Amino acid sequence: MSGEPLLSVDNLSIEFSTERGVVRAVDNVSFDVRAGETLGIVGESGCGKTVTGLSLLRLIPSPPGRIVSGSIRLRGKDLVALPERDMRAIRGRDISMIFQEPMTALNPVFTVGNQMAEVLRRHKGLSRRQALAGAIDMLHRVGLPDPARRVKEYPHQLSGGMRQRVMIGMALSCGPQILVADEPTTALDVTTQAQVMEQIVALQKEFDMAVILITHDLGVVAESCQRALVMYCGRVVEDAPVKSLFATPHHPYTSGLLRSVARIRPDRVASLPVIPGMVPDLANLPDGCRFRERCDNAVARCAGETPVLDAAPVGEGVVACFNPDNAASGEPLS
Amino acid sequence: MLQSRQRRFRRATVVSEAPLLEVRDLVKHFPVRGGLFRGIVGHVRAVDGVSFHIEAGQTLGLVGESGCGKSTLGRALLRLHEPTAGQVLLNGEDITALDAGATTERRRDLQMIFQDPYASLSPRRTVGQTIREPLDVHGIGTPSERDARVRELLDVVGLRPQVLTRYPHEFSGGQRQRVGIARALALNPCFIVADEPVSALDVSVQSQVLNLIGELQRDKGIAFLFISHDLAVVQHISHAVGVMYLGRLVELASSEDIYSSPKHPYTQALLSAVPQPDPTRVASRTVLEGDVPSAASPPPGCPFHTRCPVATDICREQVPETVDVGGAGGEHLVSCHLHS
Repeated sequence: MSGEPLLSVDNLSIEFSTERGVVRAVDNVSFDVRAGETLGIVGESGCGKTVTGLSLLRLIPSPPGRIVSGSIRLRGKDLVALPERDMRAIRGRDISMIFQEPMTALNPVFTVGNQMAEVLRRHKGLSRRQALAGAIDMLHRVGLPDPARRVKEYPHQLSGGMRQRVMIGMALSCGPQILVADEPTTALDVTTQAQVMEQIVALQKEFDMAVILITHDLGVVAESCQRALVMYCGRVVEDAPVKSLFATPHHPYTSGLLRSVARIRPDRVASLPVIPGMVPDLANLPDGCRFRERCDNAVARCAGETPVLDAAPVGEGVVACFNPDNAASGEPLS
Repeated sequence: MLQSRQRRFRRATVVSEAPLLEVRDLVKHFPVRGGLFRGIVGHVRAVDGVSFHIEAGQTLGLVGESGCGKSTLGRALLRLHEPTAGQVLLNGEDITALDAGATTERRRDLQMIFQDPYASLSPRRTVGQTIREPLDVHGIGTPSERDARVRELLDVVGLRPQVLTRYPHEFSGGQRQRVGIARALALNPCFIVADEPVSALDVSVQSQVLNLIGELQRDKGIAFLFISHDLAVVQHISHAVGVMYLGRLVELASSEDIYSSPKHPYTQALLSAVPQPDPTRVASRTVLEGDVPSAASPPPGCPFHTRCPVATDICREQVPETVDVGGAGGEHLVSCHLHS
């Protein structure tokens, strides 16, 4: 936890124009990523985690989306201000992304080898033959069986797990410093998920890259990340090392999520604890803290003021809450 | 194998009275067409000889990976897919042999909750119309009694009466799933197939809907077949759990036994693969190699032998028999050469 961050996101806000007016999907989000670290971004649908991930590669569809303020600095260089031409050189070479559904992310009319070779030819200027050899080598490294045969096949001929390996291979082929993985295993079965996550972790060590893992699955975060951001309605509500986040969550939303998730337990419980109510509509958000209507800890101040991330520094992390849980004990239980 | 299974069933019926639902050697094959004249060139063996029973008021959880046949099995029980072979007995009556009229009649007792609350509700009908439809179809009560019943059902699933005249697109996923549950409850069924009912929902909403299903089961004594790929959710809701692989049940036991002492190598691998929300846990994981084979050409012998970490020669040649390895704690059926 020392040295210059590799990537530094500062007060990032992103808006979308919709039929119902302008919606702010990401609101004043700030975080740092250090070289080699795995950062989780967790939250429920609509919390802004995917939009945040896309913005790091400037992949927000525009219109309707727009980065309205803030900066994204990669080794000091602000990506928000960069011309599209320069950004194209960064995508795939410095920052890569893999998506939830590899079937929609891969082009169905080109062979696997063709698509992978394109990345290598564009960024590294390799010849057709060199690029194909590079693609086969990469597929071998991501654990795809029989890569020499697979490069000649089309995406529909592969299983879901194999497609995700191809995506990972493609994303890593130029040795990026940062991999943004948006729900990389959500569409996969649990046994395949285990295979793919192990592969990502192994490759991360091999390539010494940072991984930003966007997921709704708290189990995946617990097993794979060192640090995690919890997002709710476009804002980061808690940012802490994973061990202390799971042992002593401070934001009432984080603790609510951790309590309500169904997990394999030694004995059955009659009913699961729940977070009452539902996520508010982004076009019609409450003032102040956006979680306050579902929160047991809410105090008068929550309605009038917006809590910011260091509103109450507790433990090893930061939390955006005026009345956090476990305020007295900052030490993780583990 | 068939004979031994039938013997066991006979023994079971002597010991206890008939279960609410009994499934005997259920098979569902889908034809694969191909070639010049679109002739049948093979079969996808989606469900390949499955037997189990569910007692009144109990939940059987059914787990397995995509393509293992769990959804097909659930649909075949309600004859939404016509079974290829086998029997489904409801209170001792074989419902696979009923004619169309009697099947409609029987569907009062058997209902279904679907995975996708976005696709399973008609966008052109109000919530009131959707919940009322089963009452209209089966001609239950007078129109005013039906209206009263719809209001009562809304209350049961925790929706306000104001939603009656609203359309599905105005609701969140969790609210839609409540509407789907209310519709399934309209005819007072004794058995509900719930196919991945919470998989499309966010964590905080998932627990609300799971609790609702649990309450309904306790209050109304409804039996459930709860189909899910999520082992944590299944453990929470089920009394017994069946594990499916390539169209077959490879293990079936009480929820406690499956989770505390799984016997089949596939069950063990599945359980070890579930990521737990606990960073201090040291994961000792059995990572399975490869993918699930195609159900159109399943491997010979044990269907799991191609991925099994402990497979031996016999596994590649012979289909293992299903045996009961349970002790005093109750039945624990497993289909694996290690235990036969």
